[in-house]
Amino acid sequence: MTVKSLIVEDDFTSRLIIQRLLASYGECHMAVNGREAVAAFLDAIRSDEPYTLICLDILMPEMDGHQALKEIRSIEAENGIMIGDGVKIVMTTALGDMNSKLTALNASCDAYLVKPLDVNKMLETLRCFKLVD
Amino acid sequence: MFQWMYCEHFQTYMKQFTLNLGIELINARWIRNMDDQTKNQQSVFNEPDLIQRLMGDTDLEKAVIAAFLSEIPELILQLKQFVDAGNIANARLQAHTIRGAAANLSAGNLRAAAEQIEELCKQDDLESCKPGIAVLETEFDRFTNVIGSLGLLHPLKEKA
Repeated sequence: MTVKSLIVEDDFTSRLIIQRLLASYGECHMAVNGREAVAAFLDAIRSDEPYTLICLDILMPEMDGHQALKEIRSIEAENGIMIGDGVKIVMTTALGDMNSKLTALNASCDAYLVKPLDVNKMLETLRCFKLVD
Repeated sequence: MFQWMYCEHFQTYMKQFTLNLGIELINARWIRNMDDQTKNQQSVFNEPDLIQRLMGDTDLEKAVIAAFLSEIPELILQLKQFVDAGNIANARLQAHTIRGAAANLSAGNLRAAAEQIEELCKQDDLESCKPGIAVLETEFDRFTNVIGSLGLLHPLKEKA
């Protein structure tokens, strides 16, 4: 299965690590803040080439990951995509507090990985989603 | 440390918890047996931890180190500028970015220094950020020295 992914990170090292993993499975796009992420997501939906996976940081300039997550799910709802059927969203963040986790969960993220990034854990997450073997 | 995630398959959820706990116990026992010099070096840069998280990919390790060495001085400079300008919101974001990058590189001391600045920004204590930035710069220098002692200072030049 091909995984079309969007990596939303303002830190270059995080983008590099995630991209090295995901590039093996399909097309990889990058965004450096939530605003770019929402724009890219909307563009993909309109082109009928939606993303399969989004890796989303939380604290970023212009628009944070929590807001981007809400807007992406809102776009999906407007397009008739039910919760659970939409893009898989993995929060990848240095914020490990329960409040941040609960905020993301309540906004319907699919997984929450705390930095430092661990390629093994990311791969396991993709396997949970049945995106990779 | 327990890191949870949603997963439809219950067995995989349990396996992740057990794997994390196992790794923590092994690391704790291993670190206890190390001499002080190694422990000090590991608190600056824990290469075994980085390699493990990158699943043994030494090429990726070199690329990430090169990116980090290139990126961090500019990030610290921007942080200084935000603090000098009294821009707490951007200073906090910048410190958070440095913290995440340092965590990815297993640069424990640098991560802690950045986290401290982030916390000070959350408390609106911009004045205390200034000595904090000096600590950050010192820790980055120490990181660079350890990287150099491991022969990783110019990781991408080896290919040339």
